[in-house]
Amino acid sequence: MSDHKILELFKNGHRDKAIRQLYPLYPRIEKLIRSKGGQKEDAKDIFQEAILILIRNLEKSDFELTSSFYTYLYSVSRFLWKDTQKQFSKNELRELQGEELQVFHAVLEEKKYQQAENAFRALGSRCQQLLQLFYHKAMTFRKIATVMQFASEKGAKNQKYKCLKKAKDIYKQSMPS
Amino acid sequence: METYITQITYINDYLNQILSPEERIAFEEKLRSDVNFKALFEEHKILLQGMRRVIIKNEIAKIHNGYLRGKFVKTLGIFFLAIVTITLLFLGFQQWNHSDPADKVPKQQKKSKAIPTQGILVPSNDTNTPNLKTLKDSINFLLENQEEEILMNNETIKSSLSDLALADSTFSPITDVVLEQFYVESSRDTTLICKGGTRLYFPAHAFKSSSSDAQWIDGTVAINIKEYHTLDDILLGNLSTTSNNHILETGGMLHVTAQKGGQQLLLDKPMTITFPTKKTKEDMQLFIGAEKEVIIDWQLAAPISYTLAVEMEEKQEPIADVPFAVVENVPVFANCTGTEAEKKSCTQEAINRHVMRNFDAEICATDIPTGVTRLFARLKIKRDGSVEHIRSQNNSDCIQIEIKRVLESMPLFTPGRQRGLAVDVLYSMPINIQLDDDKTYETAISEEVPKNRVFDTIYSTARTDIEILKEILHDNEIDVTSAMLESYQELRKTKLIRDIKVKGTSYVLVRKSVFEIPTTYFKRLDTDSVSRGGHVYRIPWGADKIPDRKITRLVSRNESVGNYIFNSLQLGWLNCDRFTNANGPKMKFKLKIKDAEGANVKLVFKNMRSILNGNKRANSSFDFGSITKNLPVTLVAIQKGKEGYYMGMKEIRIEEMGTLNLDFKEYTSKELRQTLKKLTGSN
Repeated sequence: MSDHKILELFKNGHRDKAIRQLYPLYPRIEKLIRSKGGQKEDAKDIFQEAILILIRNLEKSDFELTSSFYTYLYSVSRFLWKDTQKQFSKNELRELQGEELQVFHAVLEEKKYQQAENAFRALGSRCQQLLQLFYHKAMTFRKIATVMQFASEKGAKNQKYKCLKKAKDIYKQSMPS
Repeated sequence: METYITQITYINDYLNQILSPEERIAFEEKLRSDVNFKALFEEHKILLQGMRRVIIKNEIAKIHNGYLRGKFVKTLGIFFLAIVTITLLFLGFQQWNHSDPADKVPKQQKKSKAIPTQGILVPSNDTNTPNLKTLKDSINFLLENQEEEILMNNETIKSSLSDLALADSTFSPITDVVLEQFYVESSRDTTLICKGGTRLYFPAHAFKSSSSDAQWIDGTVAINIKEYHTLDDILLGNLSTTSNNHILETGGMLHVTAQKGGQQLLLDKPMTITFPTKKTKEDMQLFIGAEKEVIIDWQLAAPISYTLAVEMEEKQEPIADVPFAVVENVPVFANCTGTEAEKKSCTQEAINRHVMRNFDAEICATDIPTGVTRLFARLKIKRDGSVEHIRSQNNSDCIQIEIKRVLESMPLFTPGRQRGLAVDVLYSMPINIQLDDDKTYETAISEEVPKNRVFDTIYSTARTDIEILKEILHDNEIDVTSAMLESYQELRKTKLIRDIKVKGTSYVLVRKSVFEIPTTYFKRLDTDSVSRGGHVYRIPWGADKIPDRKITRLVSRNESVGNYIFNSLQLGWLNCDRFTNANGPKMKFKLKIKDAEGANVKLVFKNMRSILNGNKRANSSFDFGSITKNLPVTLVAIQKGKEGYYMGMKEIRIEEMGTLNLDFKEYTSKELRQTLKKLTGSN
């Protein structure tokens, strides 16, 4: 499938299908990571992260994919891997230009979302479920109360704010002030 | 908290784009002017993105797994295709060789050495001949170049053959029961009822992934269940009822697995299993099975511990055995007095003291290994105050009898009561025996609180009107009586108390007149907002201050019609069993059966639901371990034939036996099952 069509899929909200179409690129990324000393599992994580970054950037109004998906994912993956290995020298960073700089910023930006993800995962399973139902399944509190067996809509609502607050507290703690 | 909630709601509304254009402008203006609000906004957005990462990551992980599977299937397909092509080519080649022997004889010899097994894929000769000519040219080439590959192929065939040979020494059923598959939505409480009547209850989010970063599993989960209820199912499933060579009597067996996307799942929360039964037998326990050479060996399941602080539910089903640790009024030993807690510890000490003084380990000296041995005594303090010993653990018979003697020599108790009724109370205690080399004994009772096995008690939490009333009253200590509850429900009905929302905040509105009822338990609080008319607006407490109510449901084991109920955190092989208590001298039971090389030999017991597997020894001899003498059994030997099965049966007693002559008859698998059903039907 052409990059153009995949882009269409993303735009029309068929994220799942689009990612599926991108997956044939995975072996090449795996090869890259393994050639740099990573394991299969690392490759999986890196590719996953690269897709996350791609999705985030596609949603930005000022972002334009100038190269192919492969090139983009490849360079993001390379940066991510280098970053996890802490292999950037100061000189290297100073000399980053154009697209590379953009990618580097995207990788940096993603870090705070990673922190937020960790904070969310640190919550109890009930809290996680509650927040996901509310924010991603867009369920009403009434529905949530029945699904999760809260006594009342109100109970669910109160619990949700508590969960949210807790996640934020964990997030704040994890950020260097 | 309140402003926080309002602000978050405001932000959500903005992000969900449900604000009017004017409101949006106002919102954005606030973002510019209010630094704190802006920070909150940014933080909230980041957190939402974090949550979103979790969702997308799950999606990607699914695709990743699907991708790997696809790749695997592809490779497998190519591999098989290669085998098929090579076999076909080879067969074609042989055919061709036959038609032209003079030319190719030496090569053929070489070839036939390379592939010993041709029987795997043999298309008929006729269909092969047309292919022959077209293939002719390529064959030579292939033979030259692919000799190596064929040889390799040959090796894989060999190794798969040796796998087959091995299969004989691992567990496999003779003819298995039908597998039932259910697809369940794992985020909901689910009860499955199988064909044989077994019920499985899975609470919501009961499954977790077997990988280390175990999180609950959402979505559809496939549950596969095999039921072995009748003895013929068990026999044909090649299952037997032994635990460490002790014979068990079974109330039914199950094999349960849960899968999602090809991955085996584990249980995160205990499931509840209900085995149906026609005749209820006491002291049934849950056993977990593991494959041990050719049989499944059963081990007592570890008890599941719960928080034992329990409130009873309002409506009560008939009460069966209640564990000592949860019973409302404990059974009382002789002179124990005082508060409930004092009586409890006094009774506990008294039982332990009694056992310590009277248990005589020397009687069973030969059965106890040197060093520290840990035994368990389980007993039931019955509703008439007497004590009954419950067999448990793999204690030797001698120890069982000694524990029974000691326990049943105890004086009468004042029976325990649950909700005012006398009930049977379960109690268990560990006994540590220290046996030194010079054969002196010390019996020590460990101090730890007895862990009671909770088979038929189901714990859950709930929020009822009681909790909601406590929320409104801002009082968790208050003892809500049924009169209070009734009046509260009445006030709700007449709208004297109702929920109300003001500027996005939920209040409970309590009308002035409620406070003026003479017997009212409503008081005005300092934190209340009072309207001009004297009505009170109050924000009720949340679930953090008034916790959910813990509920125990005691499901009767004896009085409900024939069910054994267990909780289990394990999937896989499950068995509802009890240790048999056939007394009397035992003997090693061995026998020879004529012409039964490779047969599957079982003993089916006449008056208990037990099946014993015979271990194959050399020259058609079978070893059954030690069994109580003189028990009547049916010996069943089954051999797999080319098409059907050969089976021989004989009714015998457990006694010294020479060579047995069995009359093997041929059966189809259906006939086999029917015949066995007749044999085992009475049990």
